[in-house]
Amino acid sequence: MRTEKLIDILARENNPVKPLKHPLIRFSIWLLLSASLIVFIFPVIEHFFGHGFTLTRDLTGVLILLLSALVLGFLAFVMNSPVILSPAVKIVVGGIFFIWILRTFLKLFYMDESFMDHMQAMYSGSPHTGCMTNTYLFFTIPFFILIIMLRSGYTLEKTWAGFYAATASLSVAELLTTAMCPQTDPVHTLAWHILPVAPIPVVIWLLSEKLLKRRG
Amino acid sequence: MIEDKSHIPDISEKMVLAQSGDKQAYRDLLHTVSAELNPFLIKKIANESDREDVLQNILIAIHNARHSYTPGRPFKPWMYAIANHKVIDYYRQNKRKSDHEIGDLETDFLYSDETISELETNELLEQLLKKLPARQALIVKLMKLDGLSVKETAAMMEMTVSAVKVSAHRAYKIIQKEFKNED
Repeated sequence: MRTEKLIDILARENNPVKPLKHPLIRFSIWLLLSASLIVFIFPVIEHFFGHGFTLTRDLTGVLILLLSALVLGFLAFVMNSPVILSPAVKIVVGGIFFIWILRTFLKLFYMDESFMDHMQAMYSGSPHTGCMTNTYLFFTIPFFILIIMLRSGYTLEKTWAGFYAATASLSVAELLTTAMCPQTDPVHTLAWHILPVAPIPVVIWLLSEKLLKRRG
Repeated sequence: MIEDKSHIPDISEKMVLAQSGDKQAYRDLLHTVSAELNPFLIKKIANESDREDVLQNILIAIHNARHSYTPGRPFKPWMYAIANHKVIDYYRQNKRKSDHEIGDLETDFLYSDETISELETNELLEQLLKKLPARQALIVKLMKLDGLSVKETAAMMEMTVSAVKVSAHRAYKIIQKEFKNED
């Protein structure tokens, strides 16, 4: 078929559409919705698993996670409309979350005791599943809101956007779990905050083509 | 103040009009986009027929993505992002072409080679496509004339495979009815 004919067909099918709002507005809506829902369920979580909420136990970690959540969440919305981003930008920005993980590994490196012994003791002792459950719960809320919102746009690079959505939500989850967890031991962070949720970005990355398929 | 009636809307303004449902502005926009992308595609794709296919894929993608353009922002970076992506898709598909078999077409009439040649050589096709709802016409075009599989058509149209099959089946019913009327 000639392009001319296709243009005729497309013009015929053109019905009014509601343009997407600016990424910053949509990002703000996401933050607001996620925060409202988390505040709503927070007393329940605190009742079962909580040990008090404080952001100052590991302030540097909290700040890195906050930056990661904000930058990666915003980027997911920027990519929700056709845009060209250089691979360097995508990799550097995507790496913010991993600074937090790297920091935990560096803390482990400077520990006096043997890491493996410590790790073994951590898993053979009483399980700290509360932290793991919190992280999954806190991840689910912003992630599903984000995915629902992103499905109304048009993402060209779905795997990248899916990965950013997952890491942004995971940053929110890790931030809240860290704020609720009384332990600052890096082995505990690795064993109960990082490793149990490590498959999430990979799984989301694999499923992103389906997850971000446009509605309708 | 006197209104300037000679004002010709630029490409961004045409897009905003198109988003509000203005079919003529949209038609103009797609023509402008085709003209704008032609030199870009000549640089990227040597084969003329492939070039036209890619241009058509870009136009369909622009159609599917038209709600994602934010009024007030520059149109061209948005358009070139789609164009670039489709050119990369074309290179990827070409790489995979040797493994690719167009063997998964299911519905009888729409998928038979006999019908393709019959329809392609028939002037009736243009009239038939006009009688179909635009989306169905586009699906028939992609499957019959561009030779895409159901899965590829679904990906292109951002629809599910079953929705494409349903649309193709409905189009088939209309075409069949029209053929009977012709007889």
